[in-house]
Amino acid sequence: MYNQMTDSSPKKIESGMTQKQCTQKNIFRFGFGLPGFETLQLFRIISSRGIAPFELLQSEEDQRVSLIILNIKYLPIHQKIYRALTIANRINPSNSTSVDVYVILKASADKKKLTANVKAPVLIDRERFTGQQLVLERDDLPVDYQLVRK
Amino acid sequence: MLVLTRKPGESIRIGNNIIITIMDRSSGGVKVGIEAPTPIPIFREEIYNHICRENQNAVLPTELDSDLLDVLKKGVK
Repeated sequence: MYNQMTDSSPKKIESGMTQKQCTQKNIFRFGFGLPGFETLQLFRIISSRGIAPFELLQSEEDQRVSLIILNIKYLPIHQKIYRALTIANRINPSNSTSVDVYVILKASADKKKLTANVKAPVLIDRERFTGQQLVLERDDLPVDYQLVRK
Repeated sequence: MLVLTRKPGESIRIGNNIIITIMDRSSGGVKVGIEAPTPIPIFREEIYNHICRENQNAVLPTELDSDLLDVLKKGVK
């Protein structure tokens, strides 16, 4: 899996894929892009046993754009995030089995700690093969929730 | 930039499904109501810019070095 990321030459493809093509390739369409990468709409989730439970969210259109993500079910505050998403009407607890909620992780400059952006979770709809990053405007959900002990 | 003058209670329509209504103006601010289809993300500009910076800073280097792999393997608090 990591061989893809060690290739420093960007691989660009067209984003005009049909939903069927996305389904076949396990690619998720971010109709509005990701904030900061608005022109990139197709992302693949890459799982690797070596870094589980972490996964990678990698752009299909520019493979230099690759982010570490974590399903919020592994976070102690996952219920708070689910609740905020429910209040914001972005997930329906009774009908959300196909939607996974992830957070984007960032390593500190010295690579000694990881933080999670729990203010802006990423919703992945595995049925529709779509994705979207949302913002939860709550003071108790920071952009730098610390994950790893020093 | 298109600049329109609106009073409280008046609205602006963008396309056929986005309506922005001036609700109130008080205490140095303007309260705005927005009606838009659920999938359309709506952000305060400064928060959107903050999330943009966070995402850009979170992009992995082209090669995952051993320090980063170690910190990933340490797991979740």
